[in-house]
Amino acid sequence: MNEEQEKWEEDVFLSMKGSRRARPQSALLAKIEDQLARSSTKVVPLRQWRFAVAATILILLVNSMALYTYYYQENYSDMAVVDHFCQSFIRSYQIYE
Amino acid sequence: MIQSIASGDNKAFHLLYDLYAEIIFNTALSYVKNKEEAEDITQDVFIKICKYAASFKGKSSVKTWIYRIVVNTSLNHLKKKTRFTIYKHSLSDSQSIDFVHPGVLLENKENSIALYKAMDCLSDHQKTAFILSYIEDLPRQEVADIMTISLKAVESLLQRAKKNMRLELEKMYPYRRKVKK
Repeated sequence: MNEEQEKWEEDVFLSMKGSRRARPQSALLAKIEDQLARSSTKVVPLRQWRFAVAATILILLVNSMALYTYYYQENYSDMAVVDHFCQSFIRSYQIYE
Repeated sequence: MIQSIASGDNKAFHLLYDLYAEIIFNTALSYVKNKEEAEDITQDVFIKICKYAASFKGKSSVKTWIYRIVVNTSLNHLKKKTRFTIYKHSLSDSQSIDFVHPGVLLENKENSIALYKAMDCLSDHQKTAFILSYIEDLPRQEVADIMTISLKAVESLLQRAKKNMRLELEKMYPYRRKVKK
């Protein structure tokens, strides 16, 4: 590679040296503040909604399971009482023992 | 200042804007080569600063932290844009039109156009190292802090970036080489 070419490439790399910084539009600050004001009104994110729905389903499931177990056990205990009653009833008539 | 912003101090936010708006806008402009898009990125960056101000722990300087946000936001913007242009089957405006930085010195105008064109061939890391070192004119150590890499890694990225850009410049301006020989 010749020297002049190399020098030109080096000049290209350094071509932004000493340049002024560009300024954004003056309306940008107002735009940002407007967006900040809008975003400060609380928006519930989708993830939070999903979490709430999942929690509700879980609570419903646990409750229905509790209800089911409660009624099932009540029936079972009723049967046990009847069974116990029958047994004692039969036992009291074991006259041929 | 960041703590004041986290607690919603409007004055502190204005002060931060005055201090950093140009830095943010210029860095974003170097990536996207389009004023409107650079303004969108600047807006995004300030929103992020407000959003994450409370989580800023002061492990790095405010300037380093803000530069990190600008670099990441700009790179994400470019990625999204690339995805979009793939769908549209066309070149983006920034790649097809010569970009003239509004603040460049008149005598460097042509060279800066070549510079921004050649930068398109760089990887994200090489581009970031080059923009921060050569366009933002930051010290190498600060570039290393922003990119959370070692000083040596920055030097190596810059060497590779320059090598790639030299090849690109020779491809873009082959007549220069022939004429000068």
